[in-house]
Amino acid sequence: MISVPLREIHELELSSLCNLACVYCPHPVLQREKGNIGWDTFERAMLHVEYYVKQKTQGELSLTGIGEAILHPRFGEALLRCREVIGWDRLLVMATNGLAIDDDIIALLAAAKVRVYVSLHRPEVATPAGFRLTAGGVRTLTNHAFVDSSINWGGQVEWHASAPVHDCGYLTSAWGSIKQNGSVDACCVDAHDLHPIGNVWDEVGSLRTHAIPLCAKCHLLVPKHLQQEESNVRAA
Amino acid sequence: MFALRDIHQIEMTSHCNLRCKYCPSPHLGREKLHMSEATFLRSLQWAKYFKTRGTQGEINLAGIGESTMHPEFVRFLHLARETLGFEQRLLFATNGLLMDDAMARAIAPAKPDVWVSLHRPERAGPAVEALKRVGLLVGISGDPSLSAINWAGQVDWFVSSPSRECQWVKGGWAFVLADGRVSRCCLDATGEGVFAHVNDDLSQHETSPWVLCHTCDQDVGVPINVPRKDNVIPLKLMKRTVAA
Repeated sequence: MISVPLREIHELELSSLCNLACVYCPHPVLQREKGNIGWDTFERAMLHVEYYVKQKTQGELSLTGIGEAILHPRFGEALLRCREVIGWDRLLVMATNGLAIDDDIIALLAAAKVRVYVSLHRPEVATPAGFRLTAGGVRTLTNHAFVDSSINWGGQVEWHASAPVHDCGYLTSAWGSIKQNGSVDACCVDAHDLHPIGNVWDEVGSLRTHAIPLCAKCHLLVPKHLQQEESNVRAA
Repeated sequence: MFALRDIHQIEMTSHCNLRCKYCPSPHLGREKLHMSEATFLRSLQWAKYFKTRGTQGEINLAGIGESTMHPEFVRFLHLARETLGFEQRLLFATNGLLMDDAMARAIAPAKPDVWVSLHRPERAGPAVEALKRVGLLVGISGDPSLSAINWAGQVDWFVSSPSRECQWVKGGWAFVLADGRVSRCCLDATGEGVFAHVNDDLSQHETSPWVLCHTCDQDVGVPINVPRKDNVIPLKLMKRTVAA
């Protein structure tokens, strides 16, 4: 198996709970326990992020995952801690469906300078949330990629894949995705955490990434430098 | 006053299978019904008349309703194509709930341009793909979120659409309601903007600004010589007032 050292924690799942059950999302049928990240696990994840910050290979940090991050009871605290670790020059982003957005959350997001993508799963709720976020000084964008640039999560949900085909960003850039249970996955698509490449409790700096069996069914391509000679992964 | 020169929109039905809070449909101030064949044909004849005169532009085959709900939707679409020819641009927007592969294939020979609105993404997504497969999809609309209007104050919603010069009045456009009445504007959820009927001689009719122009986010581009209402009553409240 060809592997390379991880260079960035790109995604950190604060919560795998969600207040929607969209047909095009693996969340309703998630094959792992749903919950919020424990604080010990979160702090351990921060150590990994901090390592990549010091290595100067950490880019943006996305507080997404298979859940709605703002449902975490210590969401505000988590935001400020992330900002403390990554500094103010890196992007801190998250996506929300807008259902649980309130004035307190908006103030927290503004204070931590989080870039927020409002997903239009329920436009009648997401739209007011988007306007409130913007009015509250939060950099807000909208997302409807799940319809017009969609994925089927590597064949894990019955949905169309219309997103452009290109080399996988996770594998190309050696990003990792930390799940709420502390697993580190090779990509955001491994929703069920079936193919972990490590755990936050592994030694900081020891994590390596590689193509996983899910890559064979993903619409994205495994970059050449990670292709196996006798692999069933989809090749560029 | 501006001479009528374009049947811009034909409302095949005023029924809808969704109840979006940013749309006047749930509290429509006029009867909900499917357009009759006679009214539809008459509308097409007027469009053909204006086409012959060189003033007819594109025709939107939807109004405040979901056209695919019309029991004769597919046949009507083909009727429109037969009457107006393939050089005439026909288009409509759908919420996608009824747009499956069978319907997409059935309407494909009529070559309409179709927009899918993202009111319910889980239903819109498969519709988008079905329409792509037959080459009819021209776009996806998230307007209620991304370029929102409050229907000139008729619904309690945001306005984020850029202000543009409205073409309805100056362009002499007409909106044929499902009952055959002809209105000045696509925002006419009450029928208050009606000035004619398709059975009238539309070649002799003129259009003009109306009361909703005062509260619309668009620029009508001409003086609005009708009294301003103190407040436009949102349709929802209007219904409640009537009921009380």
